[in-house]
Amino acid sequence: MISYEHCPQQVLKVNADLLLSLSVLFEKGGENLHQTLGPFVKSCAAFSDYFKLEKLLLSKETLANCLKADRNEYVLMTYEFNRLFVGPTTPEAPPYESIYLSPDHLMMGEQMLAVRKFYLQENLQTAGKGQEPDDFIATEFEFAAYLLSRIMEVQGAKNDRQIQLYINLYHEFWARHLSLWLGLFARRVCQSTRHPVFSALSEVLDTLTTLNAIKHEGGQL
Amino acid sequence: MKLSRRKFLGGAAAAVSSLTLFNFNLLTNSPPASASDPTSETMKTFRNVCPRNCYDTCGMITYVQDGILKKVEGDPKHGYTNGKLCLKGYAYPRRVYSPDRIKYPMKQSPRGSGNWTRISWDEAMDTISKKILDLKKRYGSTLPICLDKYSGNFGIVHYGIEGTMSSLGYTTRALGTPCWPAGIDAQTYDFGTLYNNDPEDMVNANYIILWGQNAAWTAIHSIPFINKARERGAKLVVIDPIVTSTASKADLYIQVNPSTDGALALGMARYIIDNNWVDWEYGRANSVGFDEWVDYIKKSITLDWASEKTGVPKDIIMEIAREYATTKPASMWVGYGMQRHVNGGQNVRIIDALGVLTGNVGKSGGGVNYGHLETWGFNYNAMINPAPKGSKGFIGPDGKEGDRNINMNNFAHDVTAQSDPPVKMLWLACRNPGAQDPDTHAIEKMFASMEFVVTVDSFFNKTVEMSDIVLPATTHFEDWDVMASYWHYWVGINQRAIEPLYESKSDVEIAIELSKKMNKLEPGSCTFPTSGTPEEWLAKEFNPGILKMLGIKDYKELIDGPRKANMPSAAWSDGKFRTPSKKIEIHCELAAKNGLPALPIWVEEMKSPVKYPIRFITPHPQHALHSQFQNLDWMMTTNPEPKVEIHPVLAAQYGIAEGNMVKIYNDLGSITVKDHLTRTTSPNVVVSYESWYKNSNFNVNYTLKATPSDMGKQATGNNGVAFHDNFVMIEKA
Repeated sequence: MISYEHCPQQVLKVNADLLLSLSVLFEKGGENLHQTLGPFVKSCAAFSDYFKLEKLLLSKETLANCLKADRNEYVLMTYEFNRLFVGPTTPEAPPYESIYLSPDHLMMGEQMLAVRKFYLQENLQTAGKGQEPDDFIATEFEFAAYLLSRIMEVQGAKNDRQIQLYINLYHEFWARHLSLWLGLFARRVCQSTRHPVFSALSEVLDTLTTLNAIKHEGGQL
Repeated sequence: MKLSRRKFLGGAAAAVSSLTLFNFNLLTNSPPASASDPTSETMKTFRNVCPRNCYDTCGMITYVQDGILKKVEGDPKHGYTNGKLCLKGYAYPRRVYSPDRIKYPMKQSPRGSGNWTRISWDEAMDTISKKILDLKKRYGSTLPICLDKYSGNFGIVHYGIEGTMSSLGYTTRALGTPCWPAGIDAQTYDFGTLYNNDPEDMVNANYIILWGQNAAWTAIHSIPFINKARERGAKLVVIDPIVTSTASKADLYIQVNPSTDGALALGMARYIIDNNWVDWEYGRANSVGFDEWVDYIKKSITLDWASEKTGVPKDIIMEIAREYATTKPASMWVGYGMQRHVNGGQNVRIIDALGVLTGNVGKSGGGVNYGHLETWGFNYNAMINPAPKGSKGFIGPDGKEGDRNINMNNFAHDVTAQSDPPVKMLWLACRNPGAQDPDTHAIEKMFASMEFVVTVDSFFNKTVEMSDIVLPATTHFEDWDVMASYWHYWVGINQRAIEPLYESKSDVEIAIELSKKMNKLEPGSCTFPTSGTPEEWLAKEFNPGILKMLGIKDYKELIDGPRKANMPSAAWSDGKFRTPSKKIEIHCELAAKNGLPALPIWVEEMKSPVKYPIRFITPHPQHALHSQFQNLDWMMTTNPEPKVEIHPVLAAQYGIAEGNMVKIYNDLGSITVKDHLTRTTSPNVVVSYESWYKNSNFNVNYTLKATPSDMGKQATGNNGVAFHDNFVMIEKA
């Protein structure tokens, strides 16, 4: 088993950057893809390159092409983003954990409360508490990225107890939340989308889920 | 997740420093107290009232934990709801937390394209305000803006929707009510207004006729009171063209030909008169035109005619006439479906007169019960706003300047017909004309001709589909309000049980935002107040009269439980009728002045055209309310697709078998729907329950002409729609 304490900072950084770029992409919405797609593509490329993920080669290429899209194409991406994730029509792939894991497939399920408790553990809460569900994908990604940033920080301070604590917390958060629904979400995006940028996004999400699962099983981060 | 104290301390200590190092967008520091106690809050309860367009207007207890609505139950302190809800009521958490809810203001470019962009409230208000000011500048008034609001939420504070328009200036308004106006006018002509006995008083009836009333589906909380009366020996008779669930529970079910209810009542009256079971004393003392009507019946009505006209055997007419006249007190409940005909109001007038003939009006356990508005005497504070200074309005026939009223029940036509100035912008709230109005093709065409359409709603429906901007509406659990019923006598408070989800706002909150933006762009252009909490807005709806009626000193007492109005259980028991003559007007000059028969005489029903010989009746569904609820998962699971019910004999004529797809059509349009063969309908009537199914274009109104019913204009501004005088042809699709 690889010692968590010696996990390379680069691994943590490419993970955190990707998670954060995904968080921002979902948070800012389809209307800001022209700003958020670039950082996502960049972090995705770094992630893919670092882990030598051949599976993502095509997605990387697709994303790079989409990044070069003209204004009209970005507008189409906006419409597709809203059709998939926002509404006002029934969203094809609602980006909330409760929808996938609660027995009733409704918003604000037990998963949302469980996520909220994770945030509270770190003295954190959603900025618009009560209005935006805590299990919004962007919030979960932000929290996961934050945990990775904490690991990097305490590694720098060589605080072993803290390192272990945050590594455990990160793994626990992935195992109890993102790993359980991200794959389901990615599949629904893949099945529903009519635009290549979201097919590529779903591929990245799926890979991220798989890779984290492998890493958790293997004890790596 | 279980957290150890130590673990928590470690996390908390670390988080303090981390906040300066990590750039949060969505998460923020939580108050230390919340982190120290991450366990669940204790369950809190709130009082709510179902605000839907339904007889029952149920009192609800809402259970909330950690800010989440966990479940709803009927309020045990509400004497009519009595601690129970219908399926729709119990499904409310699924509505509040449906992933399909509209979450943010959205803009569609172009309208109808399905290309939606999320916009901020500020941008939404800016776009809307600029459009209003542009129209005002171009046309010199706000009359090109048309409001269509009705019954999506009957909360009193929701009349702030009308107030939104008033505060902008004089606008065009969809006036009327699609549901029940012919019956309202009938009771207005007869008694001075609509006013029913307390439904809980049905326990005192010895004989009950539910006339065109499917309470087992549409007013389930009345059934226990009916059952109590039956336990004492009361007989339940159901008269309906369809063998409804209510009919299936009756002691006697009578299948009447649609639109001939008046003929049945006249036949009954004839037999009552022939046998001298008439309450001459009551009729002559309390009404005008009583003997004139009796003479008409003697001269013009025979049992043979009534039987032939209604399809009801003569001996059955005689049986119910005898029983109704001699088993006192006898209660009649007149449903809204039976007045949705070209002679619907007149049929209600005849039934009213039958109640007078037998002395059953003004009696506990009796009454000709249709509805009431006695408990609706609120301030309507949110509705009343002066037009901005210098506003130009429509000069009405009385010479007064004001709003321009158009017919809600012929909305597409009337909007299109306006030319001075034309209607250019629609504002829709608590209303879904895309699904509910007659002649859907005309509605679609009219919407397409608009410059700008704004819809406020919680779910994406046909009307939202045809809008430029949709604004997310709160559910009633996210809002303060007060609700009265048009059937029972209870009034209840509606507390804000949970915070508004996503970016949803109430109609008053939307009006406040619009007013701020309008006045920023053009000072003085909107008079809607820009301050006040939702509870403060609620408080302004109460006045000494309503408080006295409810026996309270302050509206906050309603938080302890709903209150029943201090009114006698029998409507009109004081004999103080509100007609010009102060008596029941069997002979009604006002009706005659309005071009209607002065007397409750027979008026012919609409005959089916040769080309379209089949009547298409589209009643209320069991587990939905118009276009609300059916889209929810529970309803879609139990009732996944629309159906048309066809009598096997009729189906055989057209080579149609069970489960076939059937095209139902006329000159106006068509729908194709799966059939179910059943003898619950008659061989000349097909039935499909109007509703909005998720991801379906099913809409019975594609075939429905905006044919007016005979009454409604007197009390509600416009006649109703003859929804059930719709004739079609069918074929296997």
